[in-house]
Amino acid sequence: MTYSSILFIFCFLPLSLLICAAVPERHRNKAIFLESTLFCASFGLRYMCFMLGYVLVNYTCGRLIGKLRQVGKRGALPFAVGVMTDFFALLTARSHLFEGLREKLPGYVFPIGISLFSLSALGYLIDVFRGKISPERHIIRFSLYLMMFQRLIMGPIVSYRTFKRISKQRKLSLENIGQGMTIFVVGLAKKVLLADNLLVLYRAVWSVDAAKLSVVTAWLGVFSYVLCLYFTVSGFSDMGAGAALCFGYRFPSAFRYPLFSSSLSRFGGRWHIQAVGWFRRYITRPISMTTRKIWLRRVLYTAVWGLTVYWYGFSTGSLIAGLLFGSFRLVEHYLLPHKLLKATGIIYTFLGIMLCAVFLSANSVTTGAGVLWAMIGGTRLIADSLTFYLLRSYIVVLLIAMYASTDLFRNALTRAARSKLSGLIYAAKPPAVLLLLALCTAFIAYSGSSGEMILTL
Amino acid sequence: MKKLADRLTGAAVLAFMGVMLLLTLFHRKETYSESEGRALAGFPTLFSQEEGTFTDRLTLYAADHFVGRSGWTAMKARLDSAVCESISEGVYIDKSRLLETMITERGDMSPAAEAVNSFAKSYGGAVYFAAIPTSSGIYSELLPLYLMSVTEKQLIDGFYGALSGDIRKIDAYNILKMLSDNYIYYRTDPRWTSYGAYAVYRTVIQKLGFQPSKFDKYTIEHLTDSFRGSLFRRSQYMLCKPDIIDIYQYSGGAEVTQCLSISSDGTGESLPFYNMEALESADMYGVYPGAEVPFLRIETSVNNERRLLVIKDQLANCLLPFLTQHYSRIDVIAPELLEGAVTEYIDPSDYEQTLMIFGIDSLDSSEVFNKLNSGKEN
Repeated sequence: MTYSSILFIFCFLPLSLLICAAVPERHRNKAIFLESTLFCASFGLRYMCFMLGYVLVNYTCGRLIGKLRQVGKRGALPFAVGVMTDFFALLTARSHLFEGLREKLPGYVFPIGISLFSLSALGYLIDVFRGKISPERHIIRFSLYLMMFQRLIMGPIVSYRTFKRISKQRKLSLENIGQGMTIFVVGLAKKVLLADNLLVLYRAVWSVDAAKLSVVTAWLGVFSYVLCLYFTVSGFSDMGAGAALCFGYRFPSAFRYPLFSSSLSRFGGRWHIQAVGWFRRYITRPISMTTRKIWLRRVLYTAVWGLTVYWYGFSTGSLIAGLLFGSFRLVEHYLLPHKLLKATGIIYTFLGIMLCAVFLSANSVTTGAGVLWAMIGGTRLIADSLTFYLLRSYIVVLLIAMYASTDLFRNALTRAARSKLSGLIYAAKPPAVLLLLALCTAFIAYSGSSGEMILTL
Repeated sequence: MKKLADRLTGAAVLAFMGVMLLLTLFHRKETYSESEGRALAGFPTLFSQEEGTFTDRLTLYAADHFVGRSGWTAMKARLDSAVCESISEGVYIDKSRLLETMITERGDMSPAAEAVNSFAKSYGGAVYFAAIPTSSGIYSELLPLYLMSVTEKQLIDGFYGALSGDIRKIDAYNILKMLSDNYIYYRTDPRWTSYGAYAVYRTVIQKLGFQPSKFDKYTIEHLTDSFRGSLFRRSQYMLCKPDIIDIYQYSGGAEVTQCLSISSDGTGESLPFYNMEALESADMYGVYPGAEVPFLRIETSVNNERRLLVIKDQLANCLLPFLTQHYSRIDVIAPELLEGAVTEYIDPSDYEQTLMIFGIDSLDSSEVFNKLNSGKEN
């Protein structure tokens, strides 16, 4: 059961909230754990067993590391076992190299959210091994870190220390539910109203042979991919964070309006903040400590960006996209003049992101190259009837999506809330959220859910 | 102030969710949806042989019984056609009509062609074949280009090319295409109207060796003007005008004397030629003879002792009334509804002519066409 389904919105979420509110505070962790187990079971009993086993392995390894690291350096053994298990699970589920193994496993189901919770688990083990945190003794609390249903699909990857702090400050209140539901509904709208429509547009463009694409259509296709990716991932993150806030957990938001940033470094700092931050924290920083050579650090920096984007797609195209982005950032770092018009910055950032997205979105490098060729006019076709049809059909969605991907609306609201209009803004909030929820309901009522994803993390 | 707004939002959203949940749980569950014309999903059991996981089936159940389902879907169709690409639940919404867009998933048609060929080979008489396009094929220019990787004309041409040379093919596509300004297809359904069927009948009957009945000899009776077809049922798009169902009565011509549904043991059950009860159901197209009848025998007052074997799918039903002016007996077989092979019911050599009429959507079903022969091969 995905977040954007009738079953979750109108049954699982309100009922689990009700149960949680009904049990006393000291049993709430257990209640959320049971609810999360049920949530996992909704993807299949095998998935539930996998999750419970996964939690148990990481819990045990964490405890063993904690015990053995006092005695010499023997903590390395459980650490290696834990890290290898997590890596193996991640690669088995996502890498193409393990396709044969996946087919051989009887009744294999894709472990939803594995890319995110495996990073969480790895981060936990590393922190315990380095002695930054003491291992969690309480297994229920630990299991919530990995499998709590509000974080499971695309929840923010926070470090265990942050998670513990957030859990401690948990407060179940109507106020939090209001704020949480607002975030949830906005995330739902991002997925159902924008991302789903953009996905159709993207697929329409990609159904055409790259050699016959006109320039404008190719740009339209890649642009719709960027928007769709952003709204899918940020929509699910918002839904997760919103649902968590209903239960009192205040997780940080994963995106800070990255798309129309005025430089690539700003984009990098606002896109999927916790995931990108994880790679910086656990890979870039420790390795760059080992060398003092500047050029080696730069190479490493680019390589880690390659790895970060590779993690999204697990394909050659995504590796190329990541390496491209890393190199662009280096170029920007060295060549960017100190004074630059904001508009110029937005334009070159946009071009850079589009270039990376071409390779991220294409199935193969050759398709990517073909699309790129079409984008620079290699097919000698500026626009054709398909272009006009798609523009006519999607112009409203595209404009709304572009507006929604900037912070203009939020800023306008903040300004209005400080002015005389504040009463009006606050009064309009409940009906506006309800209206948005009703709109989203209309879009998923026929099929019952909107689970189609541009990528599975 | 902000706190109050947050609390109000929380309470409002929770109340909305709760009300929808309670209404969905406690309103009376239908097993059949009249507005969509299909059976609704039943509550899933944990261990079932059906496809998909328990949650998938529970999601379907929740969607099917969600309170105000058709209202929500109608709202989506209005929004889609107003704001976005005019496709809602796979239905293209044009100003004048609804069109099917899920047309790229058609399977291989060559097994059907082979089955027809081997039927024709072992059969002494002449075989005539008419493959009927859907409205998406005739009005393909209304659909966005990227949806049409292969046109229905190409599909039919390919299928006809795979049929052996002895089989006479009827080019229904071009006949209908030329008349596309007329009411030959329903606006809310992918099937043809009686007028579309009449246009194809004219060519068919000439090939079969008769003069077609003149159009002005018919009196046309409008049975209903509120037929909403399967495309409407899926999209619930209310702004498209409902359709008219016509029957054509030939004044002063031959009459249908008997209409029998014959079961596998040879006993017949008398049926009305037009099933007026279908007008009360969701799919009013069922009014035409032959709906849901595996083997139908039509006897007429034509005095020529000629017999025709018609092998067809449900789409062909509205063409049958036109044939009654020319044969004293027409045996109509719908292989998709037959239990066994065609030859278990009839002996094809009793007929000098066999007419096959199939919609293009039936042509990729090898299961249906294998029934033409399987009796002989065993």
